[in-house]
Amino acid sequence: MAETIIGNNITIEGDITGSDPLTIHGTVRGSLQIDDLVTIAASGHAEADIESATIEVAGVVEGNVTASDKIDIKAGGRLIGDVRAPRVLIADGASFKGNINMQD
Amino acid sequence: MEGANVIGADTLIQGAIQGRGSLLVAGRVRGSITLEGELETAAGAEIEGEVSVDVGRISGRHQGNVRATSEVILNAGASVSGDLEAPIIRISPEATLCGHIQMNLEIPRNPGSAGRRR
Repeated sequence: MAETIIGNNITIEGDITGSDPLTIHGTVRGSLQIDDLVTIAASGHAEADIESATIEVAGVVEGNVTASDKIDIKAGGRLIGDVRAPRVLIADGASFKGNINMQD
Repeated sequence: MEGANVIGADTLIQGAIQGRGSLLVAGRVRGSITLEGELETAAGAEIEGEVSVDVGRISGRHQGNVRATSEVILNAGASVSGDLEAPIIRISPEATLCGHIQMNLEIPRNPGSAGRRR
């Protein structure tokens, strides 16, 4: 399957939508609306609201995050914003500030 | 994998893309691409907006100007509606261009940056 990869030397100011799994190693300011999977990698920085089925955060996210399946904040990941998802994983070593709503 | 930059065929980016390195666009971009590096647009790619790069290898559809500090190549199937500006320009017989061509020896990379003589 095709995928979209934003490397750590790329900055995007704007909105990203689509069905390809999206991995961010760089910087995005705007919004992300992706069908299945958004991964903010360790060097990634998203100042954006994010919507997807699964959202994995190993880098920094400042924005509201809505997942239809799962949000996973990895050790070293930082999320500042509100989380809506039926399943929420926050690893030991992750950083989180915001509200969590797990109800549909 | 961190160095590779790819916009997948089913991805749309509305906004400004900027940075360094190589970028392959197989999907759609509405906005601008400003890249210190090489841009490649695949056959199904659609770009609406200004492109300012070092090297542009175009196989997709562009609406907007394409400026390169080194080279612009329009491959077979490429379609550009806009101006091309680069010291070296190659256009395949199977490419389509509607716009002006300008070949300068010294092209400013983008406003605010120092120009580079090659």
